[in-house]
Parts: sequence; structure tokens; C-alpha cells
Amino acid sequence: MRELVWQLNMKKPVILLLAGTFAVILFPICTMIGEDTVLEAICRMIFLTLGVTALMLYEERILLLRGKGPGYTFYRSMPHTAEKEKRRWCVADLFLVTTASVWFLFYEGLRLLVNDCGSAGFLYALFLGYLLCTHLFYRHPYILLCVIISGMFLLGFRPWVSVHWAWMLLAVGVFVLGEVWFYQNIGKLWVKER
Amino acid sequence: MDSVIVAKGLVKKYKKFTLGPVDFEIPKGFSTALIGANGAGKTTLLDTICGIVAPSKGEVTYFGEITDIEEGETKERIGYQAAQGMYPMSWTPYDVAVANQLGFKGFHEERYWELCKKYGVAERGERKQTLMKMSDGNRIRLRLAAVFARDTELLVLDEPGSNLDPLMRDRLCGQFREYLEEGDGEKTILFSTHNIADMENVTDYAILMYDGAVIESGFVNELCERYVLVSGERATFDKIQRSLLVEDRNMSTCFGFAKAEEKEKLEKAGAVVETPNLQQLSIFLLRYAEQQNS
Repeated sequence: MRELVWQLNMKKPVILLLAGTFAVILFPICTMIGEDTVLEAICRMIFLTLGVTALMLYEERILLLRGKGPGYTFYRSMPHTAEKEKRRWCVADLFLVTTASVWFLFYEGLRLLVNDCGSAGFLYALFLGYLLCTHLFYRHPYILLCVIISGMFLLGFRPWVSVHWAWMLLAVGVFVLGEVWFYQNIGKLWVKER
Repeated sequence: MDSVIVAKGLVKKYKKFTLGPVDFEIPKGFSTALIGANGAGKTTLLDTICGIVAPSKGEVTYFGEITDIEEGETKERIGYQAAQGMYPMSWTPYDVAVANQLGFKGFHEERYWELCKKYGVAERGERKQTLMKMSDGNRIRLRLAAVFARDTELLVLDEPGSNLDPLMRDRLCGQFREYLEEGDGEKTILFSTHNIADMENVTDYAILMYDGAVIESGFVNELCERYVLVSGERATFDKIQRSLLVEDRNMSTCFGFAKAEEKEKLEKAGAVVETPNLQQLSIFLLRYAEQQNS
């Protein structure tokens, strides 16, 4: 219990996983509820909050992985297993949270706030620029992935609107498997690399 | 000499700085000071030894047999404290306690809180004051409390004495002695400093660094006997100038520094020759290295 409280308090990957997973699972359900309902509005607000939180934490994780953030020395000084596990989960979280953030915060969130495709599109482009700059700064492949996905959305590829919900579930499945794959493979590489 | 760490051809390359290649040994059961000016590569060396960053080349052997710090419980046996940025600034003493408890098997929370109290940094269970709100000195105290609360065989401390008041520095020296005595020859301390004066009485072995290279190393007594501190009048110094590695000339008296084998020659010329202490030695050796480099 103490560990869980501390993990939540310390913004450890658990909270990222919760935010990301909630977002990925709940979003398709929300889109099926229908437009302009109070429930939908509440759900969207929740997603927005989760998205913002996830993004903030996500940046913190990047810093940690790149060995630049405060506290990374402590993580790196920890014994192999604990630290390795942590780093691998961090990488997996990045993948999930990146995707979740892009989907909910920067498309649905802005749509909710602006409710106007033109303005939302403009803000969306700004966000893309921001992501690109972040990528150039951190040179992190997952941010590039984020840029690509965002670009696809900007160009009109919105699977939750135009594609059958079954495809959505498939997409969720792919993300979950992707997370596991990243956890198993890329996480290991990251550890070796440093 | 039984060594706790043996480094061979160790190199760490950054864009604007390269450490090494360096070769050195850290003797087991003693306190070793890593001395050098700011930017000499002390932190890089400690980070590389402790696995915070990976070396670009070279090999480090730990405890006589382990060549990979990630292997087994090696990191458990090493207590590392960085000079800064060890913990996120939003953490409180309580968070530091829990994090260490989760990260290390040999962390004793009870001992941690006792040390926090002894160092006057926090009361048991302090959850309000974040590191951000603490003074630099208190942050160091907290980090020291955390590392001394663990069961370790090797302490690696980056600038542990900086920003500490004289009383706390004295207490730290006492803690060093206690740790080494407890270990009965099995525990070792490696610490870095750019001002050895306050820590000289707890230094058994010294490694001097300049611009990413080890320029001298050895047990303090042996090291100090390798060189001599020279003083005398200007006229005397004119005669012995060639024997001196570094010299300082005032209007009346001059000071210099030479190798011990020159002692007889210097005395014959009328100079006063003394054995330097570690602080004097380190200043002159670093100046000599700087002189050679320019």
C-alpha cells in the first residue's frame, strides 16, 4: 500500500499507465454514446484532464530516459533489476501515453474547447510544431512517432469517426501489443545503450 | 594492495570534454580523495565508475572480480551520492526514505531518520518541506543521511564537503572514520573535492586529476614524500630555478615546488626544504599540470 501511494505521489509509471489505459479503453465507448450529451461532455473533460496529466508526466519520463531530468542519478544508481524494470516500463509508457495524448488531448480536447474545425486545425498545427521541436531537442523516436500520428490525424484520418468500432478495438489491441513489444525489446535496448 | 576498484584505459567522451584514458586503483579499506579543479573530470569519473553513465572505452573491475556494474548486487554494495540533482526537487525527506527503501535492500529507515535528526535536516516522517525549499547545505546533509543509512561496502561521494558549514564538515569527517572503522578494512570511501583542506585528515589515498587525466596518485604519506616544498631568498631561487617545477616569487621570499630527488641539491644551494601537506601538494601539482598544458 505504501509503495502504491508513493508511486502515485511520485508520478511513477503506474499513473501513466492508468491515464493512458483509461484513455485508450474509454474513448471508443465515449464515441459510441453519441453526440452532444452531458455524459459525452463529462467524458471528454475527463479525457482532457487525463491527456494533460499524461503529457506532463510523459515529458518528465523523457527527461529521465535521456538522463537529463532531476532524479535520474538516483534511478541510475539503483540496483540493476529495479532500475532496468523501471526504465523498460518508462519506454512502454511513452508509447502508450504518446498515442493517448495525441488522440484525446489534441484532437478531442481542442475540438471541445474551440468547437470549430478551422481554429482547431490551427491549434493542432501549432501542437505539431511543438512536438517536432521537442523531437529535435530530445531526438526521441517516440516523439517522431507522435508527430507522424498527429500528422495523419491532421490530414483527416480519424479512425474513430470514419471507421467501424471494430477497427477501433483492433487499434487498441495493436497499441496494447505494441506496448508489450516495446517493453520487451526497445526497453532492453535503451538499457544497453546507456 | 587490495583494490576495491581497478580502472584500465577508462574513457568517457562527451562533445566538449573527454575523460581519460585513465588507469587507477582505489585501495580497499581506506578513504580516497579525488582531487582536481572544477571541470577536471571528477564527476564524470565517479559517474562512470558508478554506472550512471556508460564508459566509451575501458574497463572497471569492482571488488576484485566484477566487470559489469549491473551484474548481481554490485550497485547494492555501492553507495553513490551525486553532487547535485540526485533526487527530484519536489521530493521531501519522506520521499527520499521511501525511494531508497524501494530501491535498495540494505536501506535502514530507522537509521536514516536518526541521521536526519543528527544532521539537523529533518524530523522523522517530514513530508512538507521539499528539497526545493531546502538550502544547498541541507540537501547535501539529506543525501548523506540517505547514503549512510544503507549497508554498503563502497561509498562514492561527489563533493560531499562543499556547501557544508565547518561544524557539519567536521561531523562528516567523523562519519567517515566511523564508517571505515565499522568496516574493519572491508569498507572503502571514494570522494571528490576541489578543496582538500577540510577533508585532509580523513584522506588516506589521493588521486589528482587535471583536464580529464590522472596526474598523480598514491597514499598521502608516500605522495607527499615524492615532492618537496621549497622556500628561500630571491638570490637562492635564481640558482635553483631549473630544479623547480613551480615557483612563486615575492619581493623578499620565494616559494617553490620540486621533486624529492632534488632535495639535497636545493639544500646545498641554501633553500629551505620541507615536506608538503596534501593541500600544498595538490595546489602545486595542479599548477604544474596547468603550466605544462599551456
